[in-house]
Amino acid sequence: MVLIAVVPLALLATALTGPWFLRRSAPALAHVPRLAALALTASVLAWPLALLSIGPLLAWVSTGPVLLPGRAGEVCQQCLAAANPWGQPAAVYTGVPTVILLALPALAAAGLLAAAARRGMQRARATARSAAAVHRGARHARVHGRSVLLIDDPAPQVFAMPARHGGIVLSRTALRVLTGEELRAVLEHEQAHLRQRHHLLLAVVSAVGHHLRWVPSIAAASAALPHYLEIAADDAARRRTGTAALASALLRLSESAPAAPLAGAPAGALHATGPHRIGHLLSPEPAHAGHWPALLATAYLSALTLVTLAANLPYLGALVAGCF
Amino acid sequence: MDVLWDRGGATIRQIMDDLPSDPAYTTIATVLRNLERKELVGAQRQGRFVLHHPRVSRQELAATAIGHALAASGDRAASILHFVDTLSTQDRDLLRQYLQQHDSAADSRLLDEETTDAP
Repeated sequence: MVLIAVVPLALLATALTGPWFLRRSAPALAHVPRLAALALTASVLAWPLALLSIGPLLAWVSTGPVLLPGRAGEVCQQCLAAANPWGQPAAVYTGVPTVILLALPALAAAGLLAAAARRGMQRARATARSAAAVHRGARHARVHGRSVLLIDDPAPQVFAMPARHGGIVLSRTALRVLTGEELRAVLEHEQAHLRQRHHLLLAVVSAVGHHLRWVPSIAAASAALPHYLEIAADDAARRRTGTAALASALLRLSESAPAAPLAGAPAGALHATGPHRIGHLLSPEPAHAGHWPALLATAYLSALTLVTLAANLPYLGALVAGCF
Repeated sequence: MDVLWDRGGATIRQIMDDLPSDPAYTTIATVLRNLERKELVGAQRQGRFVLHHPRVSRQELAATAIGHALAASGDRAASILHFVDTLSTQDRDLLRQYLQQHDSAADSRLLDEETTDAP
């Protein structure tokens, strides 16, 4: 019972301290960028699930006024008792009807799912519009053995769209200003985005995280994710072409970038919770530094998953067994 | 925009005269207002007329052509990963410093090889 009281407090604590933890562990997490990106995505999904599990958990240990009359109420009571791992009727009178504890999270879950789906579709439409704008006047080409879209643009553009929308995009200006090695580094970087399905991670976090951005830990995780994706792609590129080629490509492209940046947060707000991309690229700290945050993150995610499973599996089991 | 670039500045009436098609006064006014909102065109009152002038050059606008196309299609919301956004001056300095060191290290390696190769 004490355990159940601890869950909401722990969830609140992690929601509030999440940004601090992410900031502190950013240099270490930067050593395991792919793991960090996956963990951030998982945390954005797991936290709301754990939160929604509080209701079903409380339903085992609290009791309130009876809302459902007659037979329906009896069936509910039976199911609740069948799902209750303690096997005893609820003990503490909280004044909250049990049916509310079960119905409210279910409604909230349905609402969140619908909102996330809507957001996801909006994003997919925006991506399709951008892709259409890029495809106008673009030409398919092979550069260093990679299939790319070549566009005419006075600025040296390099970016990756989701694979089904065309993948890597280069402007002819970028092709002209970059040396052979720099170009190879850039292409390896973009290819890593595609191979590691970074667009998918971003889409999932944007769809769910957008509606939960009032939760500090989720806002911080959503903001940090793109930085870890860039570092993951940088790591893949420099393993193949070396740090120098990637560093000089970054410098050259940032120096010849158009006055108005295309997208993304203003430079000042970049490293609030995320790792420092350039710092990591040029002087990565020893790899063992990544162990403890990785362990903590794993423990945190396991705890969230455990709470969700502990709350929902017994109900599911009871329903399947017909509430006996 | 072409009329404004050619003339350097024009009133709505002048733009109407310059355009081969015959658009309505309000159409041009609306387009100008939209361009003003995007900070591409500025407006200045001169006596009884309002003179509109371009705030970016032809070249400047061309330089961000894809940028505008993407912005108009909602790039921020879309799933696009840019190789490099704006880098801070410190980041650029770090890169420059690293590359200089890297170059000089490569040079000295080359020198070492030359000296060891020498009889």
